[in-house]
Parts: sequence; C-alpha cells; structure tokens
Amino acid sequence: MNRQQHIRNFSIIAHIDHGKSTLADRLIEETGMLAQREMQNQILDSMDLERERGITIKLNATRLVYMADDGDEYVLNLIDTPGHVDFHYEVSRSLAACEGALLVVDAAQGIEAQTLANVYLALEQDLEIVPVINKIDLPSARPEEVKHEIEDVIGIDCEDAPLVSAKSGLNIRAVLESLVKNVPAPTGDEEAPLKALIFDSYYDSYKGVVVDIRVMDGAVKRGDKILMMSTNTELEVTEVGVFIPSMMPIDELQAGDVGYLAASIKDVRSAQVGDTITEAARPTTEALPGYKKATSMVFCGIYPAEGEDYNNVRDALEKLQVNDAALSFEPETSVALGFGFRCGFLGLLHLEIIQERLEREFDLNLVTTAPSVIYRITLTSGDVVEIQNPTNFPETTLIETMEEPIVEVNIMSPSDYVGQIMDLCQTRRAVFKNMEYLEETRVMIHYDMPLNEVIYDFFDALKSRTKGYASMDYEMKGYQVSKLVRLDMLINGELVDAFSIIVHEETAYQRARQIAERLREVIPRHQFTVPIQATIGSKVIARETIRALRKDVLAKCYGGDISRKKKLLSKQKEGKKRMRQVGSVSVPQEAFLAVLKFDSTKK
Amino acid sequence: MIKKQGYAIYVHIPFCVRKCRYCDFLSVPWDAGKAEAYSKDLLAEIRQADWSRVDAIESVFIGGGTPSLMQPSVIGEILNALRSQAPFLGGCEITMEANPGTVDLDQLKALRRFGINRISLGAQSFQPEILKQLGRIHDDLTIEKTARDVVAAGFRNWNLDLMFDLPGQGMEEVEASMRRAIALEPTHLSFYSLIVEPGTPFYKEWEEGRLPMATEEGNRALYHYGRSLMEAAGYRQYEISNFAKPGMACHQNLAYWRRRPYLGFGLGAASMEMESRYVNPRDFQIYHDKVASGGVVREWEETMGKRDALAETMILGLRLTHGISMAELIREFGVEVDLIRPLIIEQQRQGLLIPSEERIALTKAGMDLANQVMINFL
Repeated sequence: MNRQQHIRNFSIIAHIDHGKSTLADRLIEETGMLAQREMQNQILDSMDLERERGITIKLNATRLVYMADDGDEYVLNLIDTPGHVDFHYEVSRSLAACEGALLVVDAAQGIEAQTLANVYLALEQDLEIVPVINKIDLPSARPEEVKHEIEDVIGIDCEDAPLVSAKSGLNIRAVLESLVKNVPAPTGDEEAPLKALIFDSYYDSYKGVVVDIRVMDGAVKRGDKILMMSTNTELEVTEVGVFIPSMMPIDELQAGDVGYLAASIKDVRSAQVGDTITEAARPTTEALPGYKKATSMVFCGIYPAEGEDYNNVRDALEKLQVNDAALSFEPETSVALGFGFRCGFLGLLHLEIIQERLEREFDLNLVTTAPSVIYRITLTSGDVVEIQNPTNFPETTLIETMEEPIVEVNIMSPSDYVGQIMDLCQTRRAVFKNMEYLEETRVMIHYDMPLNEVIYDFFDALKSRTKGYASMDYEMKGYQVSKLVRLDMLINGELVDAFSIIVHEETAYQRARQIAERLREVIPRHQFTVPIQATIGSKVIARETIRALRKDVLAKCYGGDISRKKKLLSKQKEGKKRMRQVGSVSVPQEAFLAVLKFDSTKK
Repeated sequence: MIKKQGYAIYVHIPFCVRKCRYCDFLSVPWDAGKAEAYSKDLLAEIRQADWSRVDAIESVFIGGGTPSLMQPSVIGEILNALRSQAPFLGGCEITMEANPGTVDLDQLKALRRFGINRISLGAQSFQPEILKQLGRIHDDLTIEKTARDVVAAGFRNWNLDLMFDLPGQGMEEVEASMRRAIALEPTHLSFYSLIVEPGTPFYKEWEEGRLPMATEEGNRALYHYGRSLMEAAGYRQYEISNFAKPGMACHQNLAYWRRRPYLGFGLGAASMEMESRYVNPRDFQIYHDKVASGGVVREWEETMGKRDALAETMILGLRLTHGISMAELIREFGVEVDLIRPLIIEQQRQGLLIPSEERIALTKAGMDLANQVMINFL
C-alpha cells in the first residue's frame, strides 16, 4: 500500500471573520484527535492576541487522523495561514508546503479582496482549491449566489462545494470527504536523498530553535546528520515529531509528511524559513525554490517608553524575528525619544500586531512613531539615496528629484458604496484605473495610489465609509516622481523629531492642521501656555495653542470618599508618569501614533 | 497596647424626598417602612461594633441623604446608642444635615433637646429656577424660613451649603446667592464647585452638551469672587471649599483632613482607624443581612503602610489653608519626610506651596491647582 496515498496536506484560505479558525476547530473535533474537554476555543490561534482579534497571525500546523467513507484512514495535515493582506508572504510560505487549499467563503458576504489575492497565490503554486461555503445558517446566507460568484470570479467549479456551518458543526464531514477526494496525495520519492522545506521556525527554551518542515523526498529521524542548504550548516537531529496540535515526538518523518525538527540549533540564522534541509552525507542536488524574501514596506521608530529598558526591547524584537522573518530592525536615536529602533514591516497591520505583541507578550511599554515608507531621492550630486526616516530627509537645496512608492490598490465592495470610496480615494491622491462588476451588487475598483497615503489611515477610513463592507488589497507597483516635503512639529518652540513626517506638498497643509489639532487635543494642559506649530523648513504652516491650566482641584473630599479621591489622583499621576518630557512639556505616549490615526469624526 | 483616642463618628441616613439631578451619593426615595427597618439595623450595628479602641467621641455627624426626614426621636435613639458606647467629650460637635423645608421649628427644638448642636442646611442656591434645574425640593424662601427656624430653635452653630458653576450661572447669580446666604448669618459656609459625576442625570446632559458650564477661567473667577465676598463678611477660609467665622470650623471635617480615626455607621458608611480604611455594603439587603448575622459589616477594606499614610496625610492636609505642620509630620513619620522634601521645594519654587519651613500649605494659586501639587506626594 502506498503510504503517501493516505496523506493530504492542505491550508485554509479565508477572509477575516469568515470562520476559518472555527472551521479548523471543527475539523479537529470531527477527526476525534482530541477529547471534547481538551478543546479550547479556536485551538489554532494560540496567541492571546489572535484570539482577541479573532484573526490568525502566525501560521501553525496540526495533524488530523480521519477515517474516510471509503473505509481507509487518512492523515490530514492542516497548515494554517494568516488571512490578512499584510501577511501575504507568510501565506505563500504555508502554501508551498501543501497540495491543496480549502477556500472558506462566508455565505452572506461572498468573496473579499484579500481572499482573492490568496487564492491567486495558491493557484500560482498549482494548489487544488476546495471551496467551502460557511455560515449557511445565517438568515442572510445566499449560498447559491456566492457559489456563482466564486465560479465567475475565480473560475473553479462549486457544484459540489460543501455548505457548512462551522459554528454549529453542520456538514463538517463533507469538508473532510471533499479534501480526501479532491486534494492530490503527495508524490515524493521516499528513496531519494532528504529534501525538506522549512516553512516556519520558532524558539523553544528546551529544544532550541525548532523548525516546521514539509518533507518532499526521503526521510529524516533522530540522530541523522542534516545540512541546511543555504547556509551550509551541518547539524544533528535531536528530535522529529508531529503536531497534534501540541508537539509529539515520533520516530521518523518521511516523504509527504509535515512535522517539526529540532537539532540543538542555537542560531536562528542557520535555520532560515524557506531553506531546504537535506542529508549531510548524501545531499540532494537541487534545493527547493524557497520563497521570495519578504520586503519591508512600512517603517516606524519603536522606542522604550519612560522607565523601560532598551535592552529588553532589543531582546524582544530579536525573539519575534525568529518566527517573523518579515520584521526587520536596526538601532536609531531620536532627540525626543532617546535610543530605540527603526523597524520595518509588511504593512500597517503587521506594524500594529508587532507593537501589541511586544507590549503583551513581553510586557513592554513602548512609544511608536509615525509610519513611513521608502522614498528615493536623487541628489544634485547625482547620488541616489533611499530615505524612510524623516530625520534623514536632505536639505531641499540638495535635492534634484524625489520619488515615492506607488501601489496598486484593489478594493472590493458592495456597489452602494462606490461613491464614498471614490470620494475617499480622491483625497488620497489615488488614480482611478477601472472598475468591474463581480455580480450585480458587488464591484472591484482598481486604483494606483501612493503607499504613503495607504499607510496613513486609508484602511480605517475605507472601513468607516463603507460600514466595514469594503475589503482591500495592495501590491507594490513601482516608484513615481513626486513633490515631497518634510513636515516638522514644534511644541513650545522645540522641534520634536519623532513627529516629523514626509508628505506630499499638496497635502502638507491639511495634514499639518490635522496633526496640530490632534496634538492640542491629546497633550494635557500645563501651568503655562503651550504653542504647537507645524513647519516646513522655517515656514510655519499651522498653529494651535494649548491654553494654560487654570483649575485642577477636587471640590469635595470627605470621610466617605477619601479612597475614591485618592484613586482619582493616583490615576492622574500614573497618566503623567507615562508621558514623555519634551523640554518642559509632558507629551502622552499615545500622541506619537494617535495624531496619525484616522479620526472618523472628521472628513 | 494601642493607645485609646478620641474618634469622630459618622452616621448615614440614605433617604431623600427625591434624588437631586447632580447627586451621586448613596440615597433612595423616602419610605417610612424601610426607614424604620433601617434605623433598627443602624442601632444594632452601633451596639455590635468594636468600641474597644474608642476612648471618647469628639464629634458626630449625621449625614445623608436627608437625615431631617427621620423622626427626631430616632435621631435621639442613635445618639443615645453612641453615648452608651463611649463618652461624648465636652464641647463635642454633633451635626445633623437638614434640607430646607423638611423640618419645622418644633422638630428642630426636639433635635436640640436630643443633643444635636449643629445643623448643616443644604441650600445650594437662592435662585428658584436654578434650584428647580438641580432637582431640589425647595425654593429660596423655604431656605430663609428654615434658616430662621434653626436660629429660633437655639442653634448657635450652623452651616449653609452653596454651590457654584451651576448651569447658566454667572457672577451676578453667585453674588446674589452669596449675599442672601450671608444675610442669614450662618457661622459656617461651604462653597462648592459643582462636580458633574458619572451616572447622574446631569452627567448625561453634560455629555450631550446641554449643560452650559463655565470655562476653567470662568469657574475660578466665580470661586475667587465668592471667596472675597465671604472674607469681606468675616468668614475665614480654612479648606478648599469651606469657610467659617473664627473658631467655628467644623470639627468633624477637620478630623477627616487631619487624618484622625473615625467610625462610620449605616449603609455605605466609611471608617478609618489603625491604618485601615473600610466601607459598609451599599446594598440594603446585604447590609441588613450582615448586621443581622452579628458579624463584621464592612464589605471593602484597605490597609495602608507608612508610605501610604504619609501620602494621605499630605493630600488631605493640603486641603486645609493651614496645611500640615512640619514638626508634626516629622514626629509621625520621621525620616520618611526627607523623601518628600525635594518635592515640597519644587512646588514652592513653582509658587504653588507657601514658602515656609514650618508649614506645608497651598498658596492661593496652588489652591486652584491642588491636584497638581497633591499627585507629587502619592
């Protein structure tokens, strides 16, 4: 009997909230790998943050054992993928380890832009797409229309797509049957030299760096001498195992298997995600294609907040980088914020998630500066420099031309909101390309837009204007000549470098006014008047004033409310402690990002 | 052995004719049956409490709610219950809060016979339309009537509560109210800036932008003006919101601000003794059950270390115009005081504390920004 005939390796592609994690839980339950009592909600989303936001950030794998209707037992390896556009890169990582993908689509909402982007990625890698229509128990479910939409937009047959409700557990077996029937079995050469793809890695305090692998050819077991092909590092395997979904050591991983491998790896760099593992004594001739290296598109400064240790921040960033290759960082210094790091991210959500993970998992108190992109500047000397930190923006007189990155933005939305979306895009220097009707009531609109405008608050603004119905995806297109300026903020006459941003000349005035206003709102009143000025070069283009504090006193404090009043004062003190001193002005940490966030109350 | 000492006693009467629209105190509408049951619990709680550390009672304050809704005889029973646990010191100040229109001359005379020697009248304002907006049950003439009854009943020590920065109130309104208050010659005046507390009808209106309140500058102008009128009439400020004729400052309040021990009885009443603060249940049923069980009534308690005690001494003592005596502070806290010396000097430099080696006290400017000073000592 061919062992690999009974293995199916698959991912799940779904838009945020379309029920991927719930479906994964049901699949695990249905295959009976775990007792009901061991089920935590959403097993695959192990991080607190993921559970709270209801989205999957880090990929994860688990092995399911399924007794199919044909009477045979199948091993189904589920490799989880993140759903958001920012994690494109990680999606391609997990897809490379699979032969098929479940496409989960919400029966009420239909396909979303990001889902589509991920489906195209899967198709590029020749994966078999297995459609599943979820949430059919919703009153607003319209499974037939959604099926047609998938057929029209993606061009795959949805005739037999299982109609399920992951929430209530309806029709879960149909999904498993469809997987067994439609996803091709792996076809690796079990006798050939070992060839395994690293699709994830992370640090374990007992085992060292652990790598998640998909064995393509050959086999690997404890005691084997292996070779990391890109770094030429030789290692001895200390443990191999599978995910159930916790790690369970087994004797051997063979062609077609998905599992983990530990080899007392101390240095993360010798176990890079995307690398190929082979046998030291009998190396394979050709490495697997690997991945496109993730490129950081969005940058910001991350600084230890008042009282936080710089070294703790560095250690935490290093630890996160182990399993998030898309995160890059290097030390930098700010006059206002001291020593910190310039960090690179895939996008704004990636930035926010890293920031939150640093704060929650490592219990760090941080200040984050305004996000920026990479600008290309040709100097009068003929030199070309790439700038992502506004502080390094050259003197205007030294600049010959400036270019900024442009992205292709695809927005999918109910057609009712087309007007609002167009209005919004117009204010973001977007160039309309075309619009197509996906069905009668849904459209896909294509724009070219400066990335600078996308990272500012575009996503929040889009959500707010379309009541959350629109979804978007963007892809790097190239650079375009542009007229850029550096906008500086002066607080009480002092330039605060952490507030400086690079903006297009046309939007500078509006942004300057917005930022000055927001700073006036978030900076508490002091015992003196605090002027806020926005400048370009030496020219003041916006001005606000924070009036002096005239009253800060509790009128009453009697026997019955001393404890409460004490608490109020303690809270006030805590707030003050968390602020940054800029000269004699206290600036709350939120100010550094809050000023750049979308404000739904304003246009 | 713990030294016995004089205590202040607070008794809470949680009933009102109806709740005022700015009020977040613990009170419910008057209900005769409920009030009778409550007074029984109150007496039981007083009887069952641990009085072993109480050497004598220095002051008593019966507050609310509206204690003047209770029969004077019930107030008498409460005072007797207290008296049988610990002696009242000579000159013991025994205050009861009363709302204008809820007591007549006979009742006031009866209260005096039972031992009440100070009345605190919740006047708040002399403008009928503002009183109406506040949800008060009285008008300006009622205040004057009740005030005359208080004096006629023989009370020599009585307070009038006034509020300012009430919705739509300007200088003229504050002046008019203040002049009518002063004309009644109370021995004590409390002058509060309205606090819009969460959970009150006022808060909702304020959130919706329907309460025309003064700016910070405007609020302070009203405060400074009210203060000058009282000072001109012979009242001396002794705390942020309290003014009195010489020698007539409220002992009960001074006990709180000087961080002296006090026991509170009744629903939600707070106590402080032996570096511990504790509070009774705020729910009638829970309070009743706890009292009936004969055990400890308190529901919440915090114990304080030396550092907390010092912080409290500072934030409470700074409310007093006299402030905190440096010598006493050192006597109580020893070297700990050195920790706060640099903070004191800094606040003096900013002009918020008076430049003195003997006393730590807010300047007039400091009084407007008291929180800014206080948080340094937490």
